[in-house]
Amino acid sequence: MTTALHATVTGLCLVLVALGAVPVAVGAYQFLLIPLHAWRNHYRRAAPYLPRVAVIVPAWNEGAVIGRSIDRLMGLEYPESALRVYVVDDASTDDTPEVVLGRAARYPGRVFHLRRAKGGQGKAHTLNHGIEIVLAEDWMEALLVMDADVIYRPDSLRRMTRHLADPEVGAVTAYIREGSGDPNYLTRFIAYEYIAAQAAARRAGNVLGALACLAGGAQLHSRENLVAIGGRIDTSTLAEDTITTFRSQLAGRRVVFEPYAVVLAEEPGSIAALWKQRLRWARGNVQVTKMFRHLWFRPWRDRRIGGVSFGLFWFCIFLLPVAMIGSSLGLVGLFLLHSDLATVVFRATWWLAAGSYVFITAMVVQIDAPTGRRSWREAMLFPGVVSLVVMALAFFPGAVDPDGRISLWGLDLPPAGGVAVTLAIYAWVSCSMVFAWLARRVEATRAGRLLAPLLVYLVGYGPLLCAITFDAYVKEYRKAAQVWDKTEKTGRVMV
Amino acid sequence: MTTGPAAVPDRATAEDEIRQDRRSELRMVRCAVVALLAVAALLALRWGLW
Repeated sequence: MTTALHATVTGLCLVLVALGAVPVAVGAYQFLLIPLHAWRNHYRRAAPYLPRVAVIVPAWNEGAVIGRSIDRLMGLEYPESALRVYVVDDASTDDTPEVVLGRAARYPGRVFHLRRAKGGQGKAHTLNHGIEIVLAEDWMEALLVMDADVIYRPDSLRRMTRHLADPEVGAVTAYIREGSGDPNYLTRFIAYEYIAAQAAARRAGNVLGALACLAGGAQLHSRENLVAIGGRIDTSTLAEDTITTFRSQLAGRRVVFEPYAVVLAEEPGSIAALWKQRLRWARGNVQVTKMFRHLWFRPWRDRRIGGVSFGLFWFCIFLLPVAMIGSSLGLVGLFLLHSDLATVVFRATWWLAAGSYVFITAMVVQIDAPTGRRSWREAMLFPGVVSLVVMALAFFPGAVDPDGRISLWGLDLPPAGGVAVTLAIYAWVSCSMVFAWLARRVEATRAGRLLAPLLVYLVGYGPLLCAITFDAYVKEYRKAAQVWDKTEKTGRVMV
Repeated sequence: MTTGPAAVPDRATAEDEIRQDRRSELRMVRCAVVALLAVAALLALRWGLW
């Protein structure tokens, strides 16, 4: 190889590794914004305000959960005369109509059953059926979009409506907390993830003045905002929540996250169900990225969505699998060209990863301490056991003797030197996604109940989500059929 | 059984609740300080052990 080519390839490898480190640094930056929420929040402009709220509940075969959800809504700390529930039955084939009609008789004038003759077109179509009806009347001053299975705490709605006292606010979302009464390893991972992605990251969004997504299970819109975004929900993508959030902000209104309005939701308890749910979300994100391509990193077009920080947060999640693969390729390339340089770069990037991991984990478990305590194992093992070992090897280089023996915390392992092991370590961030995909395959086998959790703990929940995002790239590239796969709900939420 | 709405707090209580939630957000500063101390402890462990 000529010197020039050698230098060019080395430079390219360094760039790839550096790009791979960007999401880690941006993650830490996002969490460093959270303490600013102590001052940069919307409470100064909030005031007690109880508008007439129409609640739209899309329901397709929700017989197991819908009755309880309606009962909880009827028990909200909200004036009886200012709350109406419209269940839009998406041509259910179970006992949903009977359950809803029973509740409509029990709460006359407060619960309504709307039935679509033809169902299965997806949540957005179902919501639009209800929105069209409530918008046709003058009664509604604010619209709450929720899922059939979520359980609102009694004070949640009024904690949300107080932000609508400020006419600049178009929509408010709540903190969706995983609430399965019989949690397993996966729902505990999700519980931890939701603290990080909602209670923490959405506070950072409040600080920036821009949110990426109003939670689908808790979206409160002012009537004016709903009209401003066209009076209907986008039906062209799988990310109707995100499109609504973006359009609200592009229409000039602010969207706010209210951390003290807590809503409990039942989340998938198996990798297969999680994959189905998140694939839909991830494909939706690919579609949103394309749809708003003229806005990213262009603050002069929109200071919220076009802001640099907002763009960094969005793309660091959206492109995380690409960053992981790039980082591995860069490290392996460097190892083949300059093994000494590869060692230095490897340690530097994993140092950054270790610092971010400790900082973010320590913050997340404190933000929602009761959930953090329940999910402490999943919080620690979010990146996976293997990544934690790699992190430790990078952070404590003295653990590897010059002859390649690993001696860490009293362990004395056989020589770990050698090209194969080093390459495996350098390539781990990419390989972890393959193993996460394997965990999904293994789950369907007879030994899956035991092996799948073991694999997820080893590989990490983060890489599992990245593998799903990668799958979304592939499905979107192939223009795979856009199917609305509803997540099965069984009424496991415990209050 | 019919569920009746829970009592809605009066305006003064609701205003006090907003003030309280605003004050509670100072907790985020404490969370960040503790998390930064955890990172500092990791660095101390690194330099102290090897």
